[in-house]
Amino acid sequence: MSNGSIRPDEVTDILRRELGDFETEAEEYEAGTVLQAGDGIATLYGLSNAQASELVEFPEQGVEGMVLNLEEDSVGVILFGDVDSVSEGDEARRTGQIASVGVNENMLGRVIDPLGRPLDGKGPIEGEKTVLPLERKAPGVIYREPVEEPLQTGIKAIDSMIPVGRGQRELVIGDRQTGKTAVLTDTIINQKQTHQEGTDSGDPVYCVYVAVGQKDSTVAQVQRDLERNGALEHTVIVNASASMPTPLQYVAPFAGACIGEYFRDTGRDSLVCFDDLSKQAVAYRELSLLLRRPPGREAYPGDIFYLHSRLLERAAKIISDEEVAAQMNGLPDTLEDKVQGGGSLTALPVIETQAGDVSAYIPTNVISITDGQIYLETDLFNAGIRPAIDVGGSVSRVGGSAQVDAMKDVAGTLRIDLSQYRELEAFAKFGSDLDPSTQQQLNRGERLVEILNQDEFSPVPVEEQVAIIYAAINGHLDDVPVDDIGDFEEEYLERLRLRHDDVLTEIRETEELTDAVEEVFEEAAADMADVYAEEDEEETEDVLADEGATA
Amino acid sequence: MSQRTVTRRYAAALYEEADATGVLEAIDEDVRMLLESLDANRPLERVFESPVIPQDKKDSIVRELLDDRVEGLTVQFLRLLIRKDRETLTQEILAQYQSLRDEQRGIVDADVTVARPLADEARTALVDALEEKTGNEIRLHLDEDPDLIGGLVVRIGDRVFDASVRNQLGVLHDRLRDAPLSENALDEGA
Repeated sequence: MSNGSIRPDEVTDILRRELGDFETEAEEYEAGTVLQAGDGIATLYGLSNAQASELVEFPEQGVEGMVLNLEEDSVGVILFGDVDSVSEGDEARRTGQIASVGVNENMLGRVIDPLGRPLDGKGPIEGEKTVLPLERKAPGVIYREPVEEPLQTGIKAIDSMIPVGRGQRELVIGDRQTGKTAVLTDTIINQKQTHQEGTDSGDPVYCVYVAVGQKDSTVAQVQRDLERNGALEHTVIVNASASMPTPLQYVAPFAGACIGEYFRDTGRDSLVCFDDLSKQAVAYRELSLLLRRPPGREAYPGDIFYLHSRLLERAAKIISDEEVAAQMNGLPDTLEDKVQGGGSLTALPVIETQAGDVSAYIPTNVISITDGQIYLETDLFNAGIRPAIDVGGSVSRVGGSAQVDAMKDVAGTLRIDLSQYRELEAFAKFGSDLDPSTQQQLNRGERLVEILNQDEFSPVPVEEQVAIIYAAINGHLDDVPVDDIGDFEEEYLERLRLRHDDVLTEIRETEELTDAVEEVFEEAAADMADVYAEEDEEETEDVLADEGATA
Repeated sequence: MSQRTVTRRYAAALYEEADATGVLEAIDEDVRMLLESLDANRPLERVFESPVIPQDKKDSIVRELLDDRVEGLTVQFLRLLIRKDRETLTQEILAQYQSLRDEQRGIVDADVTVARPLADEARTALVDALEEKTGNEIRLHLDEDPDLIGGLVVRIGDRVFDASVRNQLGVLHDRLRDAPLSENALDEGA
């Protein structure tokens, strides 16, 4: 092509060679016939060798399906893609392949559907992919390690009182409009610091956000929020929106777990958010009923518990010992030479309750499966407490050992202080005559609540959390007016950042609260408190003076 | 209970009884004859299928029609079906009986679709080849479909063996459209 023009025979040549490579081979496959189709499922006659969760294809319609029911003389299939194009009498073929997703690093920053196809219009996902089965056995006891490393959410109320560790499963539960998704996006945004070099905030955490049965507009909003806060680069969004076929909504969390496992089993840390599992349960109920499986409580099928338990069991902290990790159970062939120990998969499933009813079927199931829950309440939300976490109803069963020592030291009594305050607060509404110690407790509680308030998209690094909670717990805020707490916090932290950066770095690195550090905090907090208390007095004096003048 | 389960049970019962009383061959012949008659004779089919005709009427028709033509067991079996309200499934049950017997004898049905009529030698060669491949006796059902252009499609049970020109053209079409050029085509073409 050095002369600049392309001769027609060159093209013919290439085509001819392509044809030369083409081998005329007879195709052999197994085929069945559609007996019945509709509502996203199809019943097939034939395919007597099909396996559970195998993919079948409908070659004429270009649709794929997954085998869910194996009966004596028929096979029940859920359909992905254009559900309505399949009709009675169509041919279905076995693919011999278990339903799976191809995963690689290039998926980060992208929005995909549960089968790995891009949805964001940014073109195909390049690069070689590791194909992982959607359904996979969770790692056994031998291949796990206890949860010990913290996963910082950047949310003060969570990191101090309901700490989450890497490899943990922490449920986020609450009514609609209580900020469940905000907890997830904030946590994902906070993982940004783990991807920046030289910040000592632990190994990078790769995030997966799975949206099940949500509005596409909501998902677009989440994508934009993450992008604006620089968190999209380390996140994969798996979207099975409300308009997608029910089968896709059912498999979406499994696809998310698959992507998380890819990072987990290659020795990295991952965080998978399932938003939300109640919608997946509804999708699964729909499919089960259409497949004529017998309904149980609330019309959910008998294996609804297993649906969630097998999904969440896949969250794990993998043993660091490479040799043991390499023998992990249920490892797909595609991963075999890539396995590395020490990885983790943290799961943050979401459950939406109806009118705060946590004793409904699905919420109780998932509460009992997970290692704790973050309970968000409408009343608190409306009272202006953001995040609207109900401390009394929230627990983290394994996170305690994952909390950094410095945080453990300062936040030890926070929980009790807060719940005592809640009790007193209710009591104090009835009478005005309170003894000084009660008044003191109320005073402190009010300020603690204020300290734990936090705006969306503004994660606080753990060392700064320690600093501000230290100040509150030790009474430095008691004389600061409640309305000024926000300003106090800002200025106090700014002062520490400017003058005592070494102290903050020390906490981050050593994770300890030494006497020297405490001294610095004491001094800074006391100084600041004086300023605010004085300002307050001046203001009061001004008011008094004004009043005096008018009188 | 699904229809198939029902037909399977009745067919198995007929087989076991015939085997026990040693009239298997005769029953085989009766079933073949009955199926052929049902196929060719619409009024007969209607006798079995119509819900309007009362049971005792059906019963006497069967007796009168078949008593001296077929084995006693066959008549008893048909009367049993009528008594049990399963006579509408007669055709399916008899067909099920046949496939049960085929399975026992190692006979499989092969549906072969060809583009053009097969010569007799080609036909025997095809049956031989299929019998060798499956290890079973083949009962050939030939069908013609000019759309195949050439070659043939064999279907035995669930397995399909597609060696038609149509399929190969389809594969080539997909390949030229979707697949990137193969490495050596690019190398040599450059």
